[in-house]
Amino acid sequence: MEEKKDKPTPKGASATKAPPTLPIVELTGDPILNRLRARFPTAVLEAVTVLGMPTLTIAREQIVDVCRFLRDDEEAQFDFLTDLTARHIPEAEKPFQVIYHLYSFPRNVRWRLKVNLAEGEACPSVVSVWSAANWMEREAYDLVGVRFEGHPDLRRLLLPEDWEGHPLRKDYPLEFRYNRWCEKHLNMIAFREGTEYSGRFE
Amino acid sequence: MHKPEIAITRERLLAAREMVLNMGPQHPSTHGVLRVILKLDGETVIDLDCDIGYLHRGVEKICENRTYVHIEPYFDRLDYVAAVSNDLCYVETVEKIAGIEVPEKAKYIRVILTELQRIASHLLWLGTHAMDIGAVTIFLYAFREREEILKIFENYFGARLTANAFRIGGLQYDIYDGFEEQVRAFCRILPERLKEYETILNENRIWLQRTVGIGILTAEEAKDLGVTGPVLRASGVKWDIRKAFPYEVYDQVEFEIPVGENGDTYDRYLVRMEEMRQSRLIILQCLDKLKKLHPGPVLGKVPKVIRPPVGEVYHSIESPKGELGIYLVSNGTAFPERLRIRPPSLINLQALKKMAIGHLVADVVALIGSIDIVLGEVDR
Repeated sequence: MEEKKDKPTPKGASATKAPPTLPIVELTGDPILNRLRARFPTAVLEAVTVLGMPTLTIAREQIVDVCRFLRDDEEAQFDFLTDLTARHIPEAEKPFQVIYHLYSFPRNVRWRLKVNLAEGEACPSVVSVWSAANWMEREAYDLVGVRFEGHPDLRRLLLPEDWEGHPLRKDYPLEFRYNRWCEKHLNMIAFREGTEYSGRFE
Repeated sequence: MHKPEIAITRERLLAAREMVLNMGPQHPSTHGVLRVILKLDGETVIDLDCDIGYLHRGVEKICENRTYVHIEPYFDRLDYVAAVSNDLCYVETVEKIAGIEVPEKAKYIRVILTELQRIASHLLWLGTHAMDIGAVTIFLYAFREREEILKIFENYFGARLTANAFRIGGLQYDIYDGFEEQVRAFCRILPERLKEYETILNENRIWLQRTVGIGILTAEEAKDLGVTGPVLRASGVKWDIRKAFPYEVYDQVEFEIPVGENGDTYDRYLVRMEEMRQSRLIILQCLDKLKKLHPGPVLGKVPKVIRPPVGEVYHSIESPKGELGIYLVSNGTAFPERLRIRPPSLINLQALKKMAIGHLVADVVALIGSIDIVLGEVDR
């Protein structure tokens, strides 16, 4: 976590008090979850419901099989990948998380899948299941730095090819820092000593 | 009519004289700073790659370092021709995770403004798309009506483009005197004006040649590519988030979802034209209901510093371009832990490759227009 000391805190709110949490309900008795568990006994690590959205944590190795099963199964019918994104959680044991939002047109249901990744671990690509994942995985690779195994064309999507670092990681500062790309392309010959490039906003 | 077909034979491959053409980023028909790298055989596109990111500001990173109230203005600048829709998505997401109630009256005003924004966005699309193809008159006509909406926005929001009066928990302002008359006056003129556009376009031979059968996307392909919004509906999928997951007061108004049959550029045009008519009907119904609620509060009870409980939420709305979604992870502080924006333009743009291969270079211009992208949203 980065420091937020300089930001205002309201009166009477103590920093040590644990903030409230959204109710997390164990997901049981869902017919599709039961089918999924029967087919892949070790794939579902956790199944909960948060704000009405079923959220499943899936083992990394089996994510592509699980996604293909959910797409093709005649009861699940998740034929649409709404969103795919990644998150950096530095304090967690597995610091990277890939989040999938699936949607089923025939049933009008959304599900969320999660895959936790250790440092340096690659996530299997689901481009073979939904083509929509192509650019979303490229964006996750670009901004968070999660590699996707089996992606047909894993390049940076938004940032330049030779940019250094992945901005959405928590250790990447919001303010400007030295990047070789900037020196090469923005015609910055040298960084003068003591110059404030941060563009800090308070 | 040009048929999309490339037969790859041995002779053809041997005689190939492929050319790589760079289109954009400074090209008016790319609607901003989109760079498309085209691989051509003669004038036929055989491969295509989009280079985006020229407008990347790192909005998601900025959001992690701003309070929930500070974030909102950044959303105006995503899809800058539909700022109201973006704001609606953001405030609803925070309301959903923090459990903040919105007064009934504010919901109706929000829907009226959002639907006006949808019409404005579609009018801008119609004008620029038609101008890309060569019909300059339509551009002037469409902007004439869009001006009326922008005048309403100027009166209500105080801004024409970056309209920002939606607040977490309701609205900043109540409606001004004469709001209803001004909106009703606009709704009165809209149908005949739409008819005017259709007189020019619907049976225009050049328009038909440039749009019918161009860039066909079947329903299966569209779903596979993650396409949403009018592009998906033109492919024959009757799906609209306003019906599938009703937000605000969309479950209390009646409207139809227009769908196309062939999924070509012409159908996408027809779907958007019909959507404007449906939006007008929604506005009229909301105005009737708003009358009964006036006067009333427009801002609910909101804590001074918004600290949503620890957790995560995904919320999406039907923006003029498609499904605009926000995945928000809260860590219990006044700053979001992660805020992911699912931009409809970006994901619809992925389908350009599928649509364009086999067509001519000039058709790529028509296709970029028909997807209706805004680069501020694609790059974020």
